[in-house]
Amino acid sequence: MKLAHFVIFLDENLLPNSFMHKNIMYIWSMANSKLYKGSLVTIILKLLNESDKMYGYEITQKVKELTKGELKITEGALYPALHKLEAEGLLEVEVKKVDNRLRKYYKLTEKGSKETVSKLHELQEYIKTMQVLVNPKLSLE
Amino acid sequence: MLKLDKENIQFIDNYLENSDIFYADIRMEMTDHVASEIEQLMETEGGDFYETFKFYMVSNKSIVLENNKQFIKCADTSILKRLWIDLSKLTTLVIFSLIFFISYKWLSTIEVEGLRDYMALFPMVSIVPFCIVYVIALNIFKLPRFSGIERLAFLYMIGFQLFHFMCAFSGLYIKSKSNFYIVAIVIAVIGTLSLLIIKITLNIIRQYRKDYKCMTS
Repeated sequence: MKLAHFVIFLDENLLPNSFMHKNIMYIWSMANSKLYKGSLVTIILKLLNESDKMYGYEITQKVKELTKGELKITEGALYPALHKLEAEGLLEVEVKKVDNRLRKYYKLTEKGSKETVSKLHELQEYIKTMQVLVNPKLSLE
Repeated sequence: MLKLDKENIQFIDNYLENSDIFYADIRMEMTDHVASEIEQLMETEGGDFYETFKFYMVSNKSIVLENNKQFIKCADTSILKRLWIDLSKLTTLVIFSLIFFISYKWLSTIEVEGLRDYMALFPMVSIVPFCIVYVIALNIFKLPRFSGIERLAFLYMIGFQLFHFMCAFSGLYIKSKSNFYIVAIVIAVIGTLSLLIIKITLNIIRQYRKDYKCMTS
């Protein structure tokens, strides 16, 4: 099983110690996998929760940087997810002129901030459960 | 960091528009994404703008076009969701009841022989004002085409077909002078839905004016 670094987005204080190993969170290599699709919304919400506002390309680059290239979000997956979150009222947009072009920034609404907490909790529970299933020894530590 | 100039940005925008990405709000975001990718590629790999653009589009055009389809789907879902939320509000029921009551009272006081002809005009009420306003906005004020506003036509078409069917249905009752309750219900449904559609239209326009201020001003 290959280690990936993508869970460094999660608040380390919220995770049990059993998830810490050499300062890297355990998760399965999800790049190019169907597994990560279910976590995409949580990743987006978490990143937006940590900064005031972000634009699409910035999100893809931030994920790439944090996971050291392990996880790459394509625009084909990112933008539909962003638009869905916007339609659900979890994100609001702001358009600004930057570098000779217009740029659409996304930021969390109040509803979006609440949803982020809930989604992160959901993901942590999922990781905990999977940890128990795939690595019982580590989960008992 | 290397930045593309206005001509390069315009080139990307034109290319996307010619690739059937009509809506300004979708194209604007795609243009920014493609431009950012190209700037990054030019920085790391070298090469001029046109070479890099060609290289990028060869492998990514299908993703960009797919994204366009997804965006349109999302705009439709968002409009229908707004309608559903408004339909489930208590104020909608109050409006419906009020229109029903007024219509029923009105039907019992007028000569209903000519009403069937007027009912046939009801569906036009929903679609004609929208078309007029939209044509003026595009041709006279040269406003950009926004997905959320243009996809409203989808809602108007559903409304038009539904109202047309309901008017034809209620016409039978008018002809037979048998049941004005049903005719009043039809008028109340058409009236309520029309008001909701107008409200959604105004809300969407207001939202675009707020979010895309720098694009429309």
